[in-house]
Amino acid sequence: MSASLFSLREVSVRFGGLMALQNFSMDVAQGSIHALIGPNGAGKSTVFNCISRFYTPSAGDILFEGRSLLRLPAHAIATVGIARTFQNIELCRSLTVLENVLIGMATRIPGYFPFGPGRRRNAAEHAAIDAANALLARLGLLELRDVPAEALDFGGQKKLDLARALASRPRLLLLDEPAAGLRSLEIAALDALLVDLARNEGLTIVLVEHVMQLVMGVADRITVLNFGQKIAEGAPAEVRADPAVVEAYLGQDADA
Amino acid sequence: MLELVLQSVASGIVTGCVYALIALSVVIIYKSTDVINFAGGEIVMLGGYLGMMGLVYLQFPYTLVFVYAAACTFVVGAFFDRVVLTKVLGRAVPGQSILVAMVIATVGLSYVLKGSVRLFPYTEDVRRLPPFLSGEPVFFGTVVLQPQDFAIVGICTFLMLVLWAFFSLSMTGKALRATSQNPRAAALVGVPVRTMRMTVWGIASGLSAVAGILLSSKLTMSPDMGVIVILAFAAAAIGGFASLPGCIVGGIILGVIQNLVGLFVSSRAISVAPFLVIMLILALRPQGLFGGAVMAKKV
Amino acid sequence: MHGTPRLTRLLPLLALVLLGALLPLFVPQYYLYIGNMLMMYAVLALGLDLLLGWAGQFAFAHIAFFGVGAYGTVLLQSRLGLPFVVSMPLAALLAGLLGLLIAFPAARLRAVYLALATFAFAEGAQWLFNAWDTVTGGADGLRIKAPLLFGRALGDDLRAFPFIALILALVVAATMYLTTSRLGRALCAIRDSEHAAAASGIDVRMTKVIVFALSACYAGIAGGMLTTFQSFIHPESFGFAQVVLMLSMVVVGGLGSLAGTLVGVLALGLLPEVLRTTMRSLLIWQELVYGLILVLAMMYMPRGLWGTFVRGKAGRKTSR
Repeated sequence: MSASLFSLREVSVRFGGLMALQNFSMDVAQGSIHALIGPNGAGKSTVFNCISRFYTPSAGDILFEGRSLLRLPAHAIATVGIARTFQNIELCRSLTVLENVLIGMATRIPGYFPFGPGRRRNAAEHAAIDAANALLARLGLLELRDVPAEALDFGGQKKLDLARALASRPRLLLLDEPAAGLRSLEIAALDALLVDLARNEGLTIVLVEHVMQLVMGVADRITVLNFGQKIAEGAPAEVRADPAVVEAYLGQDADA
Repeated sequence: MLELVLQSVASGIVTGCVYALIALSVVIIYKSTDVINFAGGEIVMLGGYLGMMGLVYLQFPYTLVFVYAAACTFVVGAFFDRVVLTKVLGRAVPGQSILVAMVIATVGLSYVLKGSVRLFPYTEDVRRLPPFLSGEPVFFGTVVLQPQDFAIVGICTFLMLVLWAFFSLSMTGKALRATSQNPRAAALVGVPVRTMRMTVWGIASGLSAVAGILLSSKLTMSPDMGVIVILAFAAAAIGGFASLPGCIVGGIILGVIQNLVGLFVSSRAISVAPFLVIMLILALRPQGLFGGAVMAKKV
Repeated sequence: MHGTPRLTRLLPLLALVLLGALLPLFVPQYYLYIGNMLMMYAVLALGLDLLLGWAGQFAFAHIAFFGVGAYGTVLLQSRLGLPFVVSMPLAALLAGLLGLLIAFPAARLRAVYLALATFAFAEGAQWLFNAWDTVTGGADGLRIKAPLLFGRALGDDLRAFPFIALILALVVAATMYLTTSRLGRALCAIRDSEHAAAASGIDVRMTKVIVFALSACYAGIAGGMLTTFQSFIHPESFGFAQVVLMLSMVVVGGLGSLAGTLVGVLALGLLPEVLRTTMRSLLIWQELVYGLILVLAMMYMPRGLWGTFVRGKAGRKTSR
């Protein structure tokens, strides 16, 4: 049994009078793919936004590799090894595909001003560009590297969001609805990529998702949220059969 | 000394009502569109000059003058939103905040209005509008108030009540509130969002026009009097830019502070007071006195 | 966007410095004055573009730092006896420090609140320039004694021109370096998506603070430039009207683009001259024309003159 890399302990989040999350706990094992599902508004993105430190929980703690994340500012999350994609595909639209990936590498190229003469000054930059190209090639975006991000099609933009997240060589990857809007073929490719990343590179992945095709395909473990509370957790087969889950969510979902 | 303070407070409440009215128009636009209207003061100025036109040249009765000025500025505001801002919104450029473009457009509007008014003859000559209510000053102990002061407070209160009734009770008003809280949901249920925005701009402009006429009865008019908008911004900031009652309280507080500063510090310091108020509030408590805890924006 | 500025891109700057030295020999004083004003505005506009176009931060406070640079340069010479060579950079540094101070609370504010707070700051600063008349000369203005640069007096347009050209060249070179550095890329990231930037490990707040301070330095330098060819500074020069002018230059020229900003400065800096020759009562129309330009630019040319007519190619020179 792999050790728990990452856990949320009794996390509660309130917005004004609304409890977005209530005493939510979840443990994620190293090298596993863990899915977080639930109807719209269940609080899934809230979980991610707490981890990213955009929101601060009113109660509870979030631990990564034994350390509490709640003491860290938002920009330190990437430094400790956590990366994420966004439901709304937050890209730097005016920058090129390559530049977006280089943004993702901000933690690997510290500092703003490269000093020093000519070639040496850009050594770190050149290394970063090579790494970025390799990543783009892996995701099939290499030919588009100089295209502005805004010009990509939806699927391309989603891939770029993922590339940006992977660029920081994270140990924990948070994916916010990675399959939303993708066609069947693209979902299959994503499925293969995620499995490859987890099994062969030991990357721990947590994904928030509605598309059951992907969830059932890749997840080792599924947690189900409804109205900010955990209603079920376990292996895919167990969760699928759980009546509470069926009632709350899967029964209404068209592509279950 | 006490008499002076009481007088300051009383006069402050009167001018504060006008600031509150202007602040209301700034805030209803902000709540609906997230845009701070930097032309707010110039619309006030335009209202004042339209009032002058109505009273002096067209010889309208005073009550009609209010309606006339409000109607004209309603059209100006609605036109600006429908023609300019809609176009600007449609031209969103990645890598440029659309709000930047819209705010710059309002700055442009302020200059267009100022420049246009200047084109007319005699607008530079210093003038003041006759009061709506004239007569003998009224004494409350040592505090002196002019009949016009009562007119100002009365008209402002009336308009605020009408506004409250409109937003709470009428269908259009409720639709407007829905649009400001969640434009996409509003559009989905069939609220014509563009028309709503235009209406908000129109109403805001109309309110500013009335404020302009009231203000012009107390202060001398000039095409540059739009700088008064800073006071409205300060009043709105005190109210947290979010709540309409907050504007009213903010306006009154500001009017009183202004007079007290003039009394205790110097008349020179009066003009810097609103700047300090704004900076302090935004630095220390951006939600003002009335906003709740600052809500995180949904990611 | 990454990489060192090619040496070829620095050639125009060399040309600028040469022109700066040679033009005063041939060109009438009045045109030199226009040139000086345009070059000073260029420095101002470049600093504003850094903040508004590259970092996406809406800040009106620029004009206040311009004033600090101008008054600072003069007062450090007249009150503390420091030579011009020291007082101008020192005043620019002071402006930068002030920008740094403002930046910390400002970086927390959302877009429109930031516009409001910095607007209030700028107005407050102008009030201070007026009110603190024992130091600044108040509304009567401050007389400037011709600054001495290595023994040569710089007090008029002719003599100041080469110096101003040199400063502009240095500022443009610095801007090229900044915008092609990782700071430039981080600014774009913040501008386009603060969330993506933060999630990627960019310290959004500190980066904004740095840009604020840098932008304020630019304004401070421009203030120092002003004192070399004017004999008087008035608080009127540091008001909202100037903010609107700078904003127009940057926006009409093209946000986030060095060349665009320079084009904007040229277009809007020369506009009053054009109006003067074609219309008699300049002042009456000036406001209306500026207002219309701003409104129409936002409606039809949001990318500015540069972005609309000279769209970036594969080897892009702009940030978008």
